[in-house]
Amino acid sequence: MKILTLIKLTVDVSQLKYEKDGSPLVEIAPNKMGDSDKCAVEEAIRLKERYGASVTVLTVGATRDHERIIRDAYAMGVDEGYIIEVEEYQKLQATTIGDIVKAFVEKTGPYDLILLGAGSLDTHSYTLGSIISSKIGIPIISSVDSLSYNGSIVKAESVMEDGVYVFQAPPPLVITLTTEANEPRIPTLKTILKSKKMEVKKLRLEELGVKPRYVTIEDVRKYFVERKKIIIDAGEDLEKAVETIYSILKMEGLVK
Amino acid sequence: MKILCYGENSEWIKYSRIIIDKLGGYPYCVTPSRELAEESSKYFEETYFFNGGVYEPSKYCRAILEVAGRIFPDVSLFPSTIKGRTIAGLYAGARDESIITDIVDVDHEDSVLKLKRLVYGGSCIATIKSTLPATLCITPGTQKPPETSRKGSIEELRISLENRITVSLNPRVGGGPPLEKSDLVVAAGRGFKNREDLEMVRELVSLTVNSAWSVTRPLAAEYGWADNWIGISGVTVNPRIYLAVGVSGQPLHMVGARNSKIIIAINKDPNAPISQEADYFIVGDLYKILPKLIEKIKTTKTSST
Repeated sequence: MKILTLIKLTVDVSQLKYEKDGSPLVEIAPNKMGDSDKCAVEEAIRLKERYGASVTVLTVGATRDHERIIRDAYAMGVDEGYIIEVEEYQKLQATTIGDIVKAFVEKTGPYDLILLGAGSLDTHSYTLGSIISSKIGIPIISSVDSLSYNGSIVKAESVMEDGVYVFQAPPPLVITLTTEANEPRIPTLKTILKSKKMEVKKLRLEELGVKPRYVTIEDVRKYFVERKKIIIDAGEDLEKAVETIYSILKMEGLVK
Repeated sequence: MKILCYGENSEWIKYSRIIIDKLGGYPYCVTPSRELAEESSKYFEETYFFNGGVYEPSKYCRAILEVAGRIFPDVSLFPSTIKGRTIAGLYAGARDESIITDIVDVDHEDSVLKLKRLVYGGSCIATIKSTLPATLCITPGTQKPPETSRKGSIEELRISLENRITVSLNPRVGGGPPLEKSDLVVAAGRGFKNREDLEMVRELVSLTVNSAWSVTRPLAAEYGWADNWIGISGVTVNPRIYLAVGVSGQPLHMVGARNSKIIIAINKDPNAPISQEADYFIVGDLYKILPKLIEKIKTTKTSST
């Protein structure tokens, strides 16, 4: 079995800081492999351990952090890693990423499974998996919370607004995973040391024959609704805390 | 401008008509059932429907592409839900056009769209320009267009719905008023230690008017303690009061709650992110505060009757 996993370098949103005018300081924010992408890598490694598979990982970008996350994937057990070098990777349109993956698959595939995180922390469009599915012509199962494979059929559960969906199909498939899918392993010192010696392969867009299209971003600002921020310490005065909540409910006419 | 909308559900069909009027275009709708087509025909000039059965994205997308192939839309609208996004991605991929999700506002100058979308887990708003044609996923709102007696045309699509993927649905067994329409929403987060403890939340809801409760995503998707959750991948609410209990206030959750008029948060961690987004931040143990609050409502009720 051949598995391709896609990983994205994402801004650690919880550590994002802002200028006075509310524009985010993205350049200095810490980066990491997307949380759900990590679950996709973990799922690929589990399939490899159980059924024997070669696992390739792919990312798009041009920073040292991109090399770092490929090595993070190596330390988890991935066999081979590629970076598609694009300077303005953050502004690439999702459909261009789809074109990149399609060209990459034509070059190195076919793959039985293409696994990726359902959505990233920073742009969370939750659409890349299905764009790839469309472009390559392989069916998709998206936002999977639990995945199993019996050697011939993939069974995937996805919790949605109206219930739990159970999808079943044989590979080839594109599958996007949520962070509920598994608990990614923590690499051992031995695998980390080994990952540092492995080669990270690089390809340019021209080598894949992909013409990039970019998103035109005019402005990014902190989204904030100004709140009163009244703090009441219930540890000090439980009565006052309860009275405050009660009186607001009462004032809005919501107490029966 | 020709606008094609995927009419996933009745609320969205109504809201999408508001977006269409803002863009100013001729509206078409595709729905996955005859029932929704009837609803859509009140708001859309032309509606197409297919008998979709249980949701499966490529099957649904084929039907929408079929209509797009006939009418050549400039803008295609989907709700920014899990299903809507997945279908929209297939659709935009097949048409090789720009796709933008999480849109909270639309505008246009001639044939250039000006869109506001949430980024960085909902902590920022980005203004994006896009040329046509484009696929847009809109964060569903609750506004409704005025009722009219108009009735647009309805046509059934005859397309192959065969598929390599088999799918089954274990539906939720719901109850109570829908979250989107409640005046008070009580949200439970990881501060709750056991499933049984949510009984306090249920009791509070039973003692208040037009109220509903929900949870954060881990409590629903991971622990299975509730049928739905509030946040970017779940439900967006806009109640008069949002009472967040034991909720830390991660951006992906807060996106679903920010439109609330008043936010009250109960959390034992004084530095929880929600402290920055609450009108009233009660620092303390929910296991002490909630029982007292319930008792207070009960006793006041008895004494006044």
